[in-house]
Amino acid sequence: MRIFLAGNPNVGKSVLFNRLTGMRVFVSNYAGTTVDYCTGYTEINGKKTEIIDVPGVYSLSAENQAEEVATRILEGCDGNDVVANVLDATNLRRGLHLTLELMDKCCPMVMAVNMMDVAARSGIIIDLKTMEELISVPVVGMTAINGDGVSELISRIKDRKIVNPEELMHESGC
Amino acid sequence: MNPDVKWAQIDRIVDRVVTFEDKPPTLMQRIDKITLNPIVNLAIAFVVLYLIFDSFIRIGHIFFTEGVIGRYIFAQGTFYDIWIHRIFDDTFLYPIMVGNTDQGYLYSFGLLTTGMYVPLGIVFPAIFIFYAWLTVLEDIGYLPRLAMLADSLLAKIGLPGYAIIPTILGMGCNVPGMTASRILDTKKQRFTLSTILAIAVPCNAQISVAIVVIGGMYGYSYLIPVILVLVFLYAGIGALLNHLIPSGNLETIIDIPPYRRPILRNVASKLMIRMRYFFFDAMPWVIIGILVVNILYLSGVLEILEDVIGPILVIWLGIPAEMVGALIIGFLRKDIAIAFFYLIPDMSVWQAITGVVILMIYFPCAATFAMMLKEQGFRDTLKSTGLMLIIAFMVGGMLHAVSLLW
Repeated sequence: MRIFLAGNPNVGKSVLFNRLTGMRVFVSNYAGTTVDYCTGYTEINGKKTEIIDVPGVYSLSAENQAEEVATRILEGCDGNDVVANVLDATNLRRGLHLTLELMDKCCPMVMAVNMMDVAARSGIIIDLKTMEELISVPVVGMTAINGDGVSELISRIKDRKIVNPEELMHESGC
Repeated sequence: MNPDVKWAQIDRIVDRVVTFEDKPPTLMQRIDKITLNPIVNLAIAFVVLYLIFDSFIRIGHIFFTEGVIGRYIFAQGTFYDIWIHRIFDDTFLYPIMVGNTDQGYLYSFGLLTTGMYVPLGIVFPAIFIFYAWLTVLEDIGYLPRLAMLADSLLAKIGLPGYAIIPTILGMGCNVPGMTASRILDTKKQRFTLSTILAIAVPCNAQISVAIVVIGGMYGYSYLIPVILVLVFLYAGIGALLNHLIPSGNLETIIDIPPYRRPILRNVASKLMIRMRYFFFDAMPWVIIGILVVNILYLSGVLEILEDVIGPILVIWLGIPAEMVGALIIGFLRKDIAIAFFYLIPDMSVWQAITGVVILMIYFPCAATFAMMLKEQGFRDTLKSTGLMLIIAFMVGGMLHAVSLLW
């Protein structure tokens, strides 16, 4: 099993990557710090697991170099792997667009809603339980910068699910 | 999936999941709101740039280089000085390791004297201060705001505002600047920016040469013409390439992240990665450079080159023939050139300015050149290099002409 960290630019994928692998990849507060991708390893249930830090993108339409790299990396993802889709809690709408595209790729997914601390301070309340019901993959709230929710994310990886975005729409009643 | 259906779906999820409660804006949000005003943003940009430049000269150069490192370590009579003399005096390694220290460490051309003083005494304090600033600004989230400010200006030369980030990174070292130019979307933009970086954006080593040679020998106000030439080149090369290379019109969006409090651990670890790069990738080139100088000098090749290339440079650029050595060694590392400049007798300020400007633009260092080859490929690197040489020759000639009219 490999874990692909995918999400919009500047949502904290590299912070999570550093947390998981103990490595030090560059983290900056602007979009596009990770143009290349990085891989590292962590131990999950005693098994060495590869973690791939996918460049941050808004979509998988391969319109720029980051999107090309991200699309190519995710092509290698199969049923044994998991895509950990990282979202910015203060900007869910933008993140969900990529979520639906990732679902189109038929990757088994879990979702991490990051920066819960910033959202709470700005008065944004996110109902993670309803979110999980609506999108049918495990959803975990996270504040990667101080490590909150990271171990919960790892423990939920076993519940990862492949979801067809078309079906998703019927279930949520449209 | 049809985009409309998709967004409708997303909105349905967001509506059910997210609720807002009224909260007074946080301190960061309030700062954010004030600084989005273009005039406030511009004022902040000036203050930030001034602080960087000022701390460069005051803390980096005057305090650390001259006051501490150049006085207590790399100077005559220090513990270090006595030690290297005790080991190498009267051995065959003496001219290569130590050289003639009578006139100070800057131009004795030994591996342990000039070879240590230039990177550790002169470039290290400057690059450390620069990267400390850069890393903090990066983590606060200031750089995209600078990009927003630069957007309309850079649009005139076909670059998005984001191009300011590789530019600023390039002022530390051009190599990470070139790597960062990947954030640009089109090949044209990446080629344009790498060419501009190689020619018009001086790295810390080159800035150190300017500060030590022009600032130290003639006064800091003489740095202004150098800055003006570089700004002019940045805009000029950009406009030229924008005109020459066809492209479609690209709308770019600058994503402005919220201000965040920098986390000490992240800043420290990034600063460490960057400094490690300086020690292991840049410093060896200084040592190799000094070695090459010694070999060229001892074998008499340097003299021959000065005799052959010298007259052309003297006539066209008006610089002393002794500068040829500096320009040759500049292919490897720019900062060693400081030592050459110091040895030239009776150099006028215009000759110094011309020499420093040419040193900055005619060719990047070996490491940057290698990175260009990797990122741009052979053909585009060749094009950039050709442009570089032509521009260096033209600008040098013009500066000479200006100095004659002065």
